[in-house]
Amino acid sequence: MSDAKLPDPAAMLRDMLGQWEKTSNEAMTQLMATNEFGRAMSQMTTMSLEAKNNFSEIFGKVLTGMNLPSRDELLTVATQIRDVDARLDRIEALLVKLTGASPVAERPAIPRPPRTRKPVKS
Amino acid sequence: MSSAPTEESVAARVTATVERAIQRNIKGLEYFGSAAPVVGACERDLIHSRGTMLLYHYRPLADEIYRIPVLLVMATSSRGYILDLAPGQSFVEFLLKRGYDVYMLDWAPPTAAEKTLDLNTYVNDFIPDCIEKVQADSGETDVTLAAYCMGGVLSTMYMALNPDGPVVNFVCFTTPINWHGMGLFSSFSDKRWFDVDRLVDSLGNVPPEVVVASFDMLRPVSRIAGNIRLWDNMWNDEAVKAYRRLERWGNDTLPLAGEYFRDTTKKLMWENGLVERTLEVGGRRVDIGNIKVPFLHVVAEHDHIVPYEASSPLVKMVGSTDKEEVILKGGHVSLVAGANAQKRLWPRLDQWLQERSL
Repeated sequence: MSDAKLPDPAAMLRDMLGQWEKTSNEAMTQLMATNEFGRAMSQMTTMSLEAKNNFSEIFGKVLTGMNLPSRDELLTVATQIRDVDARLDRIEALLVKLTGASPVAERPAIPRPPRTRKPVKS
Repeated sequence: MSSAPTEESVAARVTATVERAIQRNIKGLEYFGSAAPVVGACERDLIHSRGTMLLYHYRPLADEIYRIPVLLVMATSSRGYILDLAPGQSFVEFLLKRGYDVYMLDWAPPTAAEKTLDLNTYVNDFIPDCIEKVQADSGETDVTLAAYCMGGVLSTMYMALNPDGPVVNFVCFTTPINWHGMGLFSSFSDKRWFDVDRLVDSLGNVPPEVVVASFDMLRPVSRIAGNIRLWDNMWNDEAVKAYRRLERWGNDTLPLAGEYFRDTTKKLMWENGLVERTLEVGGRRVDIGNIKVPFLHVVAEHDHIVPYEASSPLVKMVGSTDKEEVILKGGHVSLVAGANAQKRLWPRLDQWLQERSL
């Protein structure tokens, strides 16, 4: 093909990007593997998460003052509804056990192919 | 021998380059205005759920299926749709078309009330509960367990504690066992400076930002390089769609239940309890040597999240006589999803499973 010798600047840039990514990742991960970095990162992460948490708590109090539910309170209500659902499921399962009805009776009719498949010899 | 470039070939190259540059700009504008990509290829039913635990059954796609159902166990920080991204790019779809009956143990974000879930809950409650439901739904007593990453860690613990259980085949994908080989993760969570008690006591659950940031820091410039590659491929609709699906999954990381995170940090990351054989879950010692069923561990050659040093002891420690470790080209995610997985992992797993699923 005549194109083989045609230089492709885009392909060269792609190669350069790959090289830059590889060498930068290696250099930075070496730096991050030091004890100093590990300690600093761990402290920063904990502190920033705690600050975020404190902010959420303060904001929650503001919402309480405005007589509005916070996200956490809505999630708690959602969890409680989910727990009621789960309890109903357990009661239903118990009833199924006691009455002998099929536990999959409420599932839409789905294909249940025979479990007779054998591997295809290659 | 190749000849020197002709005027026509130079003109064709210039035309193609200009054409792509125009397409990049047009499609680049569309990109910012478009909705998030749809994920999930296969029809499924939620057959059991309890808080963070979700058990799905995928509808069969073959006229005749293997006797033993397959239960996929997802990692606790990741959404299960990585295994079912889109038609033609779905591991689940592949298994269904090859005649397997597929279930998936997937996870919803744990709520604040679920911060007390610990390793014991996942290993001795959620996994056996789902196996029981799979048995009831399929009508089969035998089950194959196939687990990804942290799902593999939890499943390994379950298998070690239940050697006489209903699981007859066990498959792990890129599962860390030697936690002192976890590279930067070990350094970030070193007990000399990482106060896990303070973190969990003050936050309850560990937010997904922490998990995403930890993954990003393993390859700090890859996100920038990824964005440049996205721009380069912007003219190519299929490449953009594939990129966006993976990007959506990467950003859709789950929070971790507080006590579970505390247990994982102390018992696995600090004490390396699986390799040292000191780990106890629910008051019982976890000995991987108890696992005697046919076992396959598939690891990725270029896995930067679970390096080979972390995953390699598993196959040596398992007590099965029928056991195998397969090292495939690829990274932590590309091992199970994407074009490489379609060529490498999926057919290899089918080959291993079919004889053992009768």
